Amino acid sequence: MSLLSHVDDKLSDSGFATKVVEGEPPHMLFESANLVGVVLEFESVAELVETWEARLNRIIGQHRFAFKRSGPKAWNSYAILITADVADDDLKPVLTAIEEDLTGTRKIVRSGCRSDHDLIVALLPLLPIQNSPEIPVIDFADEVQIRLPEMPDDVFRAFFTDASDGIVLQVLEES
Amino acid sequence: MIRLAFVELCGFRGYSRRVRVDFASGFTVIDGRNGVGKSSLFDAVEFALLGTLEKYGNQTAAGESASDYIWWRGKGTPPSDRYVEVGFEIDDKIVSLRRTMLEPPDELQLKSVVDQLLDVGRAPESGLRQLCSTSIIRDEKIAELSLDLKEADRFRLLRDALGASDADRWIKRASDVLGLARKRLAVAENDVQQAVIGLNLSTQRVDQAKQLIRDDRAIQDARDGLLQYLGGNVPTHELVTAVQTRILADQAWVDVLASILDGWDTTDADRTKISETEASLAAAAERAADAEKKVRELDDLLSTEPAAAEVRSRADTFGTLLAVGREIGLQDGECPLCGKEQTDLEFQVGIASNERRVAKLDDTAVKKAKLEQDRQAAAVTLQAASELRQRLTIAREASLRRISELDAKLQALDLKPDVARSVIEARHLEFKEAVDRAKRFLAVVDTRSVDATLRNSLAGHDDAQKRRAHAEEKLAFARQAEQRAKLLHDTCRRASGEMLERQLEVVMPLMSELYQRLRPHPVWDEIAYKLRGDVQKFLTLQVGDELNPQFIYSSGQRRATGLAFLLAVNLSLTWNRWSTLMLDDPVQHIDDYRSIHLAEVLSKFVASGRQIICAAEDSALADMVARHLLAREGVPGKRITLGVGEDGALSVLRDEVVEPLPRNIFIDSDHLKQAQ
Repeated sequence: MSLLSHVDDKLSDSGFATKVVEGEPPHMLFESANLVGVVLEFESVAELVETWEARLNRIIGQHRFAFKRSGPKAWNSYAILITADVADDDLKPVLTAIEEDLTGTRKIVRSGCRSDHDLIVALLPLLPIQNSPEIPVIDFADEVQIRLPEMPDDVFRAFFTDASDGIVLQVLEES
Repeated sequence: MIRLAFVELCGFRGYSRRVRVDFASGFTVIDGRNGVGKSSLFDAVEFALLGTLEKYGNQTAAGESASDYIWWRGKGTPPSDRYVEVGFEIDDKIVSLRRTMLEPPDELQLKSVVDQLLDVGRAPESGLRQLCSTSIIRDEKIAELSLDLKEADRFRLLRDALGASDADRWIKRASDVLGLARKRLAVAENDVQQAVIGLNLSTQRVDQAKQLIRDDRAIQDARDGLLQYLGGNVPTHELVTAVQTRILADQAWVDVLASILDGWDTTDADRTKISETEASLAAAAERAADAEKKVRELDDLLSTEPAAAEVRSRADTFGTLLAVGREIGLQDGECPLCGKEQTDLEFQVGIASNERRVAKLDDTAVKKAKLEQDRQAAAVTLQAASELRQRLTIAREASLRRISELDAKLQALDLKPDVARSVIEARHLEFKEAVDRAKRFLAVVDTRSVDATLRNSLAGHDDAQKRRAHAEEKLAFARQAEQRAKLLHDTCRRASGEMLERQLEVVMPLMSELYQRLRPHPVWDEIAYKLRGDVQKFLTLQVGDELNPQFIYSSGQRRATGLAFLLAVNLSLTWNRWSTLMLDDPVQHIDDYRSIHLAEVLSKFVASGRQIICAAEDSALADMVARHLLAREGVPGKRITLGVGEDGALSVLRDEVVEPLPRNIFIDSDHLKQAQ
């Protein structure tokens, strides 16, 4: 299964319309209510660095009429350039430079996309917020009582109420 | 969820006249140059809710503070009114809060809004304030409240965001109880100390009482001694009384003998001097008799003739007349003194004769004066002799009395008056030693008082032991209470930290995700949030090989990191019911590349139903943000531009609805799923 297929799955699951285009170069289109984009897969980091611009321009040329129709949506066009190959330290800044070049499209450039997690991290700017914390409701009195099994129950009954400090102390002394 | 519907302000901050900004339910992006009132819209929301502007803290200058500048105070025509009014959309209804320069919002209305904004049951006490600080994210607070925050403060911010500050209440209560327990323990320890001192004293008293108790042999010896003292056999039960009676009697003799010895030398002198005194007394009586006789004789002589003074007066008067008569001489053959016709011779003879009489009279006066002096001298002698006789009589009587008294004492002791002093001294010593010895024997024999002392001491000792036992018992209770209170306090703190750690475990992935989305750094694309500290907790941020981004990131990177933290905090507010997130110029110092990251994150917020209100100085940047945010059917967006109006006042220059973007551009409807 190619990387494009995995990307297709991820974006589809996130509500994007997707379409794999079998052409030269092969690529995948995706679209949502406020953005459009293209995904390109590369064999290696070196290939990505050398060919991304030509390939991307060719694809944009293929879809130039659609871009023209998109009006302001074209401002939100994305190019996702990915490879399973891992970039060495020398090429990482080059990939960053491609990504920071905002000419034409917003570019997401990721190397080392080998796992599901790698893909999610790569596509994060397009995906909904992944983590929605559900903070457990914790009863503080229970938490304290669990940690003090030797403490008489009366102490907790006095402490976790509005009883005065003096009464709590009396219970601590007597129980 | 509750959303922000509008802000209307008049005479507030830089707005001199009424301006109203209606917000879209999806998002509103506002742009405007410096000073056109973008931040004042954010201020208005905070001020309507809190009545203060937290971003200024307690800053003062020249005696003024930010509160002095909340209401419009510029030049020109003053505003017709001064107020802020903020509308909230709650369940398709608009509830507004209006705060004027003089009046706060209606209390019930404020409460109804706050109850909607917060899950009151879970929110901390300062929930509304915290909600404002994390939902209204200001340019100047992004760095201050995030990356530049001290680790302990960052921990507190997160803890409060998670709603765990309920623990603070119990930690404080445990701390108060512990403080009270420690005070009571100190009192109990002092009580024990005092009780131990009392017990030691009572032990000493018992020991002293026991020392007074002799053995049987000593008591028997003392009894024999007392019997010997009494000079006969006395029943045991009467012994003490008999001895006490005898001691009283003998002590009286000791006192008598002591008084004899005390007056011995004086009386001895009296005996020696008595005859001399009587001789002196006889001589004094004789002198007095002689003087008295002489006084009587002189009195007789003086009583027959006028007193010397009278005679001397007559002589002086007569002499004066004669001198005057002689001076005048005969006057026409008549004596100037008696008027008798005389010859000069008769006159001279008469004068001379009378002068002789005057001289005789004067002699008589001199003799008379001598007699009077003699009489006075005899009277003085008489008085002195009488006084001497009186003194001698008193002295003789005193001597006789002392001698008599001493003789009486001696007689009472069957001693003769001529007894030697050494005999008296020996007798006195004998009596005194006998009495002292009897007293000592009596003290040994009379165990009743010793028993009473011992009994009292033992009773006191028992009381002291009871007091100490009671104090020790109270101390044990107090110590137990203090240990338990400390345990409770430490456990509350530990539980609080551990609860937060568990909650943080849940929140941590969101924080990391937001950091990854904002990508402040091209290499360090992940950040670790670590809790450390046992009692005091710290929240540490680390990138790469445990590096602290606080010290290596640029200004823009720090702000991006801070934004990731603040947005994560806002999303983690479990008690937050306010869907609105307001960002005041969040992209300042952030490059266009990372601004897109932020716009992408915000678009996800809007897509998830949050309302975003974002201000930016640059209109192109604002357009970019607006394009990324998602305008949908029924959830519109807005672009607003603020500026100076034609009348010179701050105004809304542009207020446009952002239309949804065209669909199905690249992919036909068959492929287009329900987009986010």
